[in-house]
Amino acid sequence: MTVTPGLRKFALTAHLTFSVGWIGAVVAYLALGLSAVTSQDAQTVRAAWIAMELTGWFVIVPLAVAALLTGLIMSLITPWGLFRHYWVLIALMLTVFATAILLLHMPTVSSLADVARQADGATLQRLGGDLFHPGLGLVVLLLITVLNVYKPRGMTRYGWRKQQEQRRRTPATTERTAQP
Amino acid sequence: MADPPRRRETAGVGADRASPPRMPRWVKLSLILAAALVLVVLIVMLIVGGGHGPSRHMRGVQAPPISVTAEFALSGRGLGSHPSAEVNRR
Repeated sequence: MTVTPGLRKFALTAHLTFSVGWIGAVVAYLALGLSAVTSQDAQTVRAAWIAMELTGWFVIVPLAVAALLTGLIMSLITPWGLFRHYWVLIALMLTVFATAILLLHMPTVSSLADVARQADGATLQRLGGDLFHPGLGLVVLLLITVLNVYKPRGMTRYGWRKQQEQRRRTPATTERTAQP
Repeated sequence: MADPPRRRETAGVGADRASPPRMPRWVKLSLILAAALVLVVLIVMLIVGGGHGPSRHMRGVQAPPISVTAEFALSGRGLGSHPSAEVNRR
C-alpha cells in the first residue's frame, strides 16, 4: 500500500505513543499490584485493587488495542509487510498474545476489585496483589520493543517469494529502492 | 518499523538466492525457548493444581465465580457483612 511520507510518520508517531504508553501503564499497574501485596493497610489494598481495575480497563486495554491496530497499519503501509520478515511476524504474535491474555485477565481483576470494595480488613489482607500477569506482560512488551528496534535479519519464505515476484515485475525500480 | 528494509538487512538470508531462505538461527532458538517456557508453565500449573482465576489471589478465602461476585456486589450484600468466622470457614 502506498501512502505519503507524512501519513506514514503520523502512523509511526501514533504506534510509538501507544506502544510506549502501554509499557508505562503496565509499570504503573505493577506498582499498584506490588503495593497490594506488601501493604499492611487495608485501605491501601482496597485502593490499589480499585485503581488496578480502572487502570486496566481505561488505560491498558485501550492502549493495547491501539498499539496492535497501529502496528498492523504500519506493517501494511511500509515495505516490511506483515508476514515478510520474521521479526515482524514474531512481534505481531507476541502483541496478539499479550492483548489476549490482558483481555482474559481483566474480568478477574474486576471481580477482585469488587471483592476489595466490599471486604473487611481481614479479607483484604488475604486478597494479595497481582504481579504475575503484569510482570510477564512487561517482559513480553520489552521483547517486542527489542525486536522493533534491532529488527533482526531473516526473511520468511512468503517474503522471499513476494520479493522475487516484485523483482521480476520491476527489476530496475526494485534495484533503485533497495539501495542503502 | 519506519525505516524501510535495506539490502544489508536481507543479504545473506536468501533475498538474492534462487532458493527460498532458511529459517534464521535466532528464530529457531526463540521457538525452542518459547516451547520450553510453555512446557514449564504447563508443568507448574499441573503441579500447583491449575487453579486460574480469582481464587488464586485469595489466601484462605474462596472467591466466588466472576459473575457471582458481580451479582453479589450489585445486590448490596457485601463480603464485609460476613462474620470473619464464616469467611475463614470458606
